[in-house]
Amino acid sequence: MLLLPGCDGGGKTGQSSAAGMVSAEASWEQIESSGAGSTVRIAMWDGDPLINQYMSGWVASGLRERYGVQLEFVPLNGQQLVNRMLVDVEAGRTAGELDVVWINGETFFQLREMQALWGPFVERLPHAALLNLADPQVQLDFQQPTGGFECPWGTVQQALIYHADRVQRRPETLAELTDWIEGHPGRFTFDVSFTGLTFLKALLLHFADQPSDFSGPFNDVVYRRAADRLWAWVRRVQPHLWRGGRTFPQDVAQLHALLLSGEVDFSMSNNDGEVDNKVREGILPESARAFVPEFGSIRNSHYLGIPRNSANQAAALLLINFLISPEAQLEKLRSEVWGDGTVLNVARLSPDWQGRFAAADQRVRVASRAELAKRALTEPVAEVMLRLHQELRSEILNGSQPAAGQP
Amino acid sequence: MSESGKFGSGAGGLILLFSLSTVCVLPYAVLLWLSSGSGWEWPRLVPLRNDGVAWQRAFSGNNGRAALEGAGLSVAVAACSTLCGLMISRCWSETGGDRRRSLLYLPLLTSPAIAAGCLFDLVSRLQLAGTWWGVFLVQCVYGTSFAAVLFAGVREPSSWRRERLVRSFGGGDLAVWRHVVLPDAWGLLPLCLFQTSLISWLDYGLTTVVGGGRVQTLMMRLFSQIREGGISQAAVSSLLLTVPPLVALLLLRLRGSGVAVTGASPGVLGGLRRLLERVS
Amino acid sequence: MRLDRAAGLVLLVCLVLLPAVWMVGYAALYSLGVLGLIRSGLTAEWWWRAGTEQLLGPSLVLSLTIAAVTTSACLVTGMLLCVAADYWRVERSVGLLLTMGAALPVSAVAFVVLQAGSRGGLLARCLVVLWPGFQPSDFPELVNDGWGVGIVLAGWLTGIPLTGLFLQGVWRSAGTGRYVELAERLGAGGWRARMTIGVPMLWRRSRLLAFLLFIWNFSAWEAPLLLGRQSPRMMSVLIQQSSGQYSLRERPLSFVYATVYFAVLLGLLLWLPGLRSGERGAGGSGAGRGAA
Repeated sequence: MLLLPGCDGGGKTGQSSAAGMVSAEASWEQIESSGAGSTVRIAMWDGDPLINQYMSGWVASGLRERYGVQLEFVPLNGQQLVNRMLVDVEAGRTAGELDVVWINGETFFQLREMQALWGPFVERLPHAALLNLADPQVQLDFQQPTGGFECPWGTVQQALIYHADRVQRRPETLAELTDWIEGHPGRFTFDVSFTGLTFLKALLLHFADQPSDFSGPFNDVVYRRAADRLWAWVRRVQPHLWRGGRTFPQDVAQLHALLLSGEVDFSMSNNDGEVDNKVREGILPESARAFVPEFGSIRNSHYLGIPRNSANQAAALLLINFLISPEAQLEKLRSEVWGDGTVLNVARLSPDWQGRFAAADQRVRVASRAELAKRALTEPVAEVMLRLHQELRSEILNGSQPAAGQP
Repeated sequence: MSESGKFGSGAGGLILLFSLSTVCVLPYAVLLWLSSGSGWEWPRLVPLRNDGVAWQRAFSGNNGRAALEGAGLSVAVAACSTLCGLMISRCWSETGGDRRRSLLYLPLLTSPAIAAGCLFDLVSRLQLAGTWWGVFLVQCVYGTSFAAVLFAGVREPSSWRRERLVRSFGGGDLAVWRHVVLPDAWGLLPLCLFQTSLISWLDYGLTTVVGGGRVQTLMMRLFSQIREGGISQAAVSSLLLTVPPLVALLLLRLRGSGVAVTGASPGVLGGLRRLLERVS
Repeated sequence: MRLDRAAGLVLLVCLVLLPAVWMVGYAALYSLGVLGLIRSGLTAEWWWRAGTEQLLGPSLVLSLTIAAVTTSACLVTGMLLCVAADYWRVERSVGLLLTMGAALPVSAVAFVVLQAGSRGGLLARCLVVLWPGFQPSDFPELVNDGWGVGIVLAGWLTGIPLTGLFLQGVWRSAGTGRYVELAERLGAGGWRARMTIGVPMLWRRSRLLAFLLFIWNFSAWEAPLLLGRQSPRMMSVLIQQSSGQYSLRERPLSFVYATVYFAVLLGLLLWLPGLRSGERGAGGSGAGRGAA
């Protein structure tokens, strides 16, 4: 595997005197002065206008005021990012255009495989002391220790969203969901991107023999048994899905659009808190409500990493430290801003901050985080997601059989 | 002009024009309607919030910057491609037989999304990935191919004779360009500049891959807004995208230059009419 | 060699030939495992996999079919428009409308088709006004459907202005009107004269247009991305999306698809000289100095 010169990828970086580069011995004051007045580029998924506004508005101006750092966005989803960095490595590119990357799970897994991340760096962040690292769902990313190579940024739990006017009694168990789908043909579906796969992952865990089967390293036998049941279920309900299961929404935005336009009665979101702000934006109908069914849903954290070929590590550290500050975490917790859960150990903050966090976390169309967390499932290892994606294509998408009389 | 003189030609013509309006004008109306507000819940035909917020945001922040960046890129690509195409067209005849010359269409006809994926490694090795220059370079590949094919058609036997004549009177390369090359190409220059600028203005595939998200144009904003589910914002971006081509087309029509150009995805559709006239 | 000629050749190589060769060569070598970070050396494994996965064949067939249908629809519509505009003497108005349509990029048209033509879209909502009990499921599948109706529609709406304007120019510059006039004087009906004389003249001079339009529709990406379904996908979408799969190890597969795409494109391009010489024989496009 081609390595970028000057980096071992597995340990701390060596000495460097280039502007923006951070040496192992640099203090935070040195990092601040090195990064001040520069530009930092973050690669992030741009599919949510509120997240984009939060970053380009509140975060960008806060970063500029505090450190004089200019924030630039590079819209890339997880797999696009991985491909981009792969080509960088293949082409031997030592100065990349990205300084911070928004990642989790299988993206982190693949970037670590490519040794494309710089670090460990988390312990160098002043606000890292406030992180809730005792929570395994923060400390572990898809069952992998982060090792300081990525910093937790937020926590979310997947929720199903339904149209309360059209769904008289929402299905709570998998059996009820199955009956509902079969009794209301064409009114349910899932997307074939990250959100849909997360939904299938939750079902996969449900189909395991034991809840703990998917803890720890990847086990092919365990996976195969549960996956066979999962695909059998999907094939069973497939003729009753939207469009007869012959096609699926490409991403969650399209799924939300289907709910809004009355084509389906359910959508879903990896962020349990976003139903309120999506209704406010007019992306979801007024009657939209979110819930977590009895079979549970995946709860996980999302993270920020620094590419190994970042040309401005100092500014990257400043940005990440700012993003995990109490002010930034509080701002994004507000449902009208983002509704994203905090990764801070709020109990460690002052009573005043604790009160502000409690007041900010108000939700109208979905139960409280604590309530939803009772049905939270832990992410399995990244390999599961990769296999699921592969088999979704081969078992369902490419093997899609049309209903009789339809192309 | 041939005579029709058919009974009911007025009614028939009106029906034709009405039908054509639904194809050519109705999309504008739909976009305007969609841009008027948010909350398009079934079965509303009028948005829940008819506030025109998308238009208020249209020229601010990201959209404004994207429009300016896209415009700058378009102008640069147009100028460079036109000049390079003109220079290449002069040695077109030396590239070999008809079949070999047909291969020169390849960059022009390749889907930008595929081309970008294959060229990204090259652009990366040149340290241009994720930069304005990288996008400019790759868009110039398309623009130059188009321009070269377009200008190759103006080369006639008399062009070579006039060139020899200029040189026989002691004229150098500059004189040849001034007295032969540019006059021959003059009629096509506005078209070429316009079409190559459109290739850049309307490009998404190349910009999104090679630009790596760092180069933001209005077309990038459109797709971003479609991904976000922002119907009204996407409608506004679509309308803004059509403004430069529409204005230019109508101006050209008013000028009566007889050059009707088309604006669409990079590749074949841009200026195809004149292109085909020149190469056949 | 003169400086400007040398510069032209250098530019030809750098801006046209080199990228063309690089695209095809890179795709082919990557597909054979010769290039790439996770390369396994020369292997036909990915070609075998592409052959057995049953994605490439349907995608190729879909792309060629949609290209053929869209191109045919554009040409037929363009010719009828041309004939009808001349018959009813509304050429200028038709030209103006086509000019307006020509300014719409294909992505905007695809967006309109999506918003208007989906089951919960604007057309369906209009029908609710007429039939209050109307539901989205009552509306036909026009987008994300198996026949590619939405993709064809977007391509047709984008292609009509081009073909219409081109054919109007051909009609004028080929002097078709004179022949039609002559036929009418000899007793032929106006419409018949145009259809039997004008349309064949238009067709002979538009074969190259048809060919290039076919390639453009074959290579379409924005409209299939918005309006197509997951399987089968058109070639451009298949290639672009398969390069973004979760598993890096499968990246060579997307380059197999890309190599096939280039092979088809090159095969079609090698056919181009025959078309061009045929058009020269027919008197060229005849639109040499024609005005719109």
